[in-house]
Amino acid sequence: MAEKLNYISENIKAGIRLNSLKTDRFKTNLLTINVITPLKEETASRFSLLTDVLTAACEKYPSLVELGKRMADLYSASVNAFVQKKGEKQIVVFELSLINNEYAYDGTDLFDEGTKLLSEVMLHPYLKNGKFDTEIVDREKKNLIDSMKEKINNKASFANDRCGEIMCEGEPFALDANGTIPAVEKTTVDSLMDSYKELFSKYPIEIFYAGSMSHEDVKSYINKNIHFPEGERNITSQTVIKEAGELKEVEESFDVSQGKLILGFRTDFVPKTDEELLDIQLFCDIFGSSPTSKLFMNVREKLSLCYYCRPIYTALKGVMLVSSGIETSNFEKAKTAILTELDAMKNGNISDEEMENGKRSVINSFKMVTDNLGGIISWGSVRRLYTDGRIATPEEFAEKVDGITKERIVAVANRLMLDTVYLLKGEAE
Amino acid sequence: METRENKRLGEKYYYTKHKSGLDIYLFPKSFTTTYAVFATKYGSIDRVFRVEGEAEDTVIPDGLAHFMEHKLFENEDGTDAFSRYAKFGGSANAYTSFEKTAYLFYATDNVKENLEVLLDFVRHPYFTKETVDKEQGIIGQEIKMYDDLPSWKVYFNMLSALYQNHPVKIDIAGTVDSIAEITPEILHKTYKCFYNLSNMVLCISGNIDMETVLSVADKILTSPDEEIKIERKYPSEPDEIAEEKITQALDVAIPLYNIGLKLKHPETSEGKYKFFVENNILLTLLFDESSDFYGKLYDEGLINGKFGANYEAFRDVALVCIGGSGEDPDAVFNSIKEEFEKRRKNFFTEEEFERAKKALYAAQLSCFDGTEQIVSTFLSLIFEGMDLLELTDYIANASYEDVKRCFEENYRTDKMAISVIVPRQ
Repeated sequence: MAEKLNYISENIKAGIRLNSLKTDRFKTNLLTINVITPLKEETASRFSLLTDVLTAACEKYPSLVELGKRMADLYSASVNAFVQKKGEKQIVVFELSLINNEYAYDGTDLFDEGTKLLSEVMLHPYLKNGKFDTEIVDREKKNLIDSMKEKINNKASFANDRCGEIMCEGEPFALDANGTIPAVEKTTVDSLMDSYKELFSKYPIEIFYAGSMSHEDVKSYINKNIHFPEGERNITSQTVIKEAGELKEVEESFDVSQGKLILGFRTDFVPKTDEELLDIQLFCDIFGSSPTSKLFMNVREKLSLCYYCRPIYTALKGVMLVSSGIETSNFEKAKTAILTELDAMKNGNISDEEMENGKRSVINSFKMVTDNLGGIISWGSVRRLYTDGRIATPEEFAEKVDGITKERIVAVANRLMLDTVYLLKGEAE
Repeated sequence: METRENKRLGEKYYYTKHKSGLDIYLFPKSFTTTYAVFATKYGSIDRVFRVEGEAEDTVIPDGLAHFMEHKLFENEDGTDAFSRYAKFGGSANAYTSFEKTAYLFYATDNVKENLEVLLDFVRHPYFTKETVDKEQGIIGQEIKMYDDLPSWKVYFNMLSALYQNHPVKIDIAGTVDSIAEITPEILHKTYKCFYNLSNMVLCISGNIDMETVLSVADKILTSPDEEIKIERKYPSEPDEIAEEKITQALDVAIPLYNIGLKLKHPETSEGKYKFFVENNILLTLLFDESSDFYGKLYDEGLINGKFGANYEAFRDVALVCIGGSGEDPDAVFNSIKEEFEKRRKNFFTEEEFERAKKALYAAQLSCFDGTEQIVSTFLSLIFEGMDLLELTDYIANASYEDVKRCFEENYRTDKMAISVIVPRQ
């Protein structure tokens, strides 16, 4: 029983849009306030730090524990804030998650109280003489820097990030979602306040809701409880698109037992139409995302070279990484094996069965979007980055999958250009 | 067929025992995705057993349950289960934990056909020397991946600190050396013992009715398995921990730690329900962001947003794991011990208790917000003789006195150990 995922979108103020989806499938509901900012070194770290400082205390609940107690009182509501890197945009997200009002056994209007709390956190910060509290800011700076340093703990994701960073050096995409450690260090209570004043007044705000309430109800709660400052909210940015240049090959050594090989590819485009996006999505499935894909069947199953070897495609930047964990001594063998499978696809070596399997798998992934609150919100917020108009439903995408031809997949394969080979060498015994 | 229902939650499921001996649970849900798991009560801790009539115990190599999970995907005709699923658009996976091995798929179409694939491939083991050798390379890389993962190492080191003999401290995937000992023969024998339908369950949630499920079961599970009596053997485990601290150096930026509290898992399902609820309420009271203790450690800069505590329990194992990262894990460890002593004299208020209870109730509600959550939560409970639909009643009925007693009896500083991963010099 597929449920239509038709978002209702409405501008509720200059530069602020509410996108809501009513669904009766869940016992909880989710609201996110997404501030869409260009990913830039000067702002990324400050916005990231702001999400931590704002959720550490607010005027009404001036400590972490008081905030925590308030959330627990609202049936373990959660008010979170974090940043996401989406292509060359940094999305500053404030998220409210609540159980549905009907499950509150003491009759509390949870959505009313929850949106008030969200507003307190975003718009009524804990200040001393008009400034953020130095102690809180210093503590959160340290925590943020620590967590940025800790990215090295997971070598698989660290290696992926490094490859992207090397491939796109000098482009915004090379930046981490949290910016850089020096930029965090440099931030002061004053520069943080400057960024705070800009955050809710200069950049577009997209609000997403999924849950059991109607669009009108959600809108009236928001209008009643969340009062964003006046502003134009029109700062946006363009994505940098580059073709692959001379091949970059970088090796770095770490004291670990498994090596990581990442191949970084550029495409010369960001998908503009649904068809373009579908072509590359289906390409990825056949190439390496699924357990019947070429990389899985050959590099893993036939050659036993790795446990994982998969493509990670970032449509909003038009780049693809092929990420694998290997025995360092098998580096050349694994690289050749991966490129051989890509060449096969470039040369049209794709069976009908592979096409059909891939299509079913891609259709399945679209249809599943409606079954998860987080998935519904993420669908809407990502689609919103492509279009200012109506948000297409996953069903509409699914319906277009059958029409994809092998020629289109081959054409997309031929737009991939190897740009960077990154090897994280394992040197432990 | 029985119907079990929780009216307050608006949730129900159907249960039946198939004539083959398999227990089948079905949660009808109007989600688009149907999620199904075929699981055996056999995991990494089941490494020594005695088959009735045999003179000696069978000791299997560490990592065999997980190895078997990989190998079952391979069919006799050279294809694998993934390609069979792919024909019907099903996405498949499997996982091995301490106490179970689970094979799953999720699909938005052709649920019946995908279910046939699931039951069929798990029922048709195919192990040869050649395929076993090939898998050793793949799993070898999986083991190395985990060896480099500090969050994994810190957890298993904590288990080694808590447990003197219990096999829970052995890595689920084994070691490169232990899996080298695996042969087709030992796989066959273990399969016969533990993949007996009477030791397995099928649990489904989504858009399918029991009639359809049973028609697939009738088709694939044509006869009950030959009865085989096995006795699982575990070394006796003392109440005392093995050692208070284990430290390992890895390539990490700042130290990370897991602090363990060794508990005794009650044997009856009634006892298990209560223990689950009481411990979870205690962890909220002690370590949640709403606790004064959390606030104190956070303000002192000892912990950050990654700090958190979990209750884990299966078979005869029950423990609390408190994890985080920071420059001074020992100070955190000592503060927790002091907090336990302090709370022994000055326990939480009834108001704090009610708030924690409310939070646990709300957390349980979200288990129903997807077919995957339903099935995986249900599955881990059912092997313990517990039922997801009854859990909320136990939460509602939890009493302040019982939670206080649970704390006094179990939260003892001599049952705690710490595992730390420090940066390499």
